[in-house]
Amino acid sequence: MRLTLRATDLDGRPVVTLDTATEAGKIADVVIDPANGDVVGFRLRSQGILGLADPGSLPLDTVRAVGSDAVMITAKTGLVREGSMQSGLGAARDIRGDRVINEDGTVTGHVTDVILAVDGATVDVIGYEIEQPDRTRALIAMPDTFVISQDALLVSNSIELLPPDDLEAVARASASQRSADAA
Amino acid sequence: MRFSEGVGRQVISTKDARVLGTVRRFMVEASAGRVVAIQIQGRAGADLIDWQHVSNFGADAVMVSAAELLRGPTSPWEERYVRGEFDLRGNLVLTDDGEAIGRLADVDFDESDGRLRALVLDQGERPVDRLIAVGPYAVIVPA
Repeated sequence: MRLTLRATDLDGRPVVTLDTATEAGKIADVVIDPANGDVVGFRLRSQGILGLADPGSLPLDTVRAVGSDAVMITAKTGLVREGSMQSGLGAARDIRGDRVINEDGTVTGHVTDVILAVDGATVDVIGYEIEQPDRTRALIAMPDTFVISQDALLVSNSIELLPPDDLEAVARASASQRSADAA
Repeated sequence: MRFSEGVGRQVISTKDARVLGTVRRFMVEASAGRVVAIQIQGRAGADLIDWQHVSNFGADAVMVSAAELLRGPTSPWEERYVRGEFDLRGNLVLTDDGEAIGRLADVDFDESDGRLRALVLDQGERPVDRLIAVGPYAVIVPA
């Protein structure tokens, strides 16, 4: 099942085990490797009194499917301690709020959400939602490889700003950029 | 036959013609896609009869070999099942790729061999020959 969605759309989506049909938690957020912009997994919402118990994290390689109603995993043993998944990432942080700057050195905006393409267990970052300096929102599609650092996300001068509600336009633009890259 | 039609039917021993109780709940093994036991109302403790001891699931009564074959739950999963924690009816039906397809209203099965034939959803039927899992959150079916 192919889906295009915002990372924030996954907030609260149940994580269900295929072995016992049990809810193992709820997705809180997607975790992205700041070195390359790839999805490494998901953080889960804290549960229980005061949210003290470690809700765990879900590495992407334990996910069997990201569906429209649930994220399916093989068994609860696929969850890892919250800190352990991020430990290999250096300074793991929220990509939201990052500046988006073009090659001329002009700030295009800052990241407000991440656009994901999901196909079964494959989850790719294909774009971002940005808020422009005039406070209007737009979507941008990203090629497979792009330059990102802890300071900024670098985009081309000719990047197309897509309407904020047209996720499928991001999917089309990202697919055509990737096939052009591959050619 | 649907589970809802079978529930409440009398269970009678062929050994001595005594009524052991009535059908309370069907226990389903997901991977086999079949009914593996019947839970009987009116029996405290040992209230399960394995399907192989059901000699005939008849129109008026369910015939079983003998009362001595009744047993209690033998695993934590069975204990939870007989308490009704995984009750199929009303449970969410989820595909293994994470799409909710409805709520389970009833189950259609072949009373001659216990095999499941279809899940009856609040909107339409879905043929099944096996399930992925039956649990407290959902009934998971192949996509």
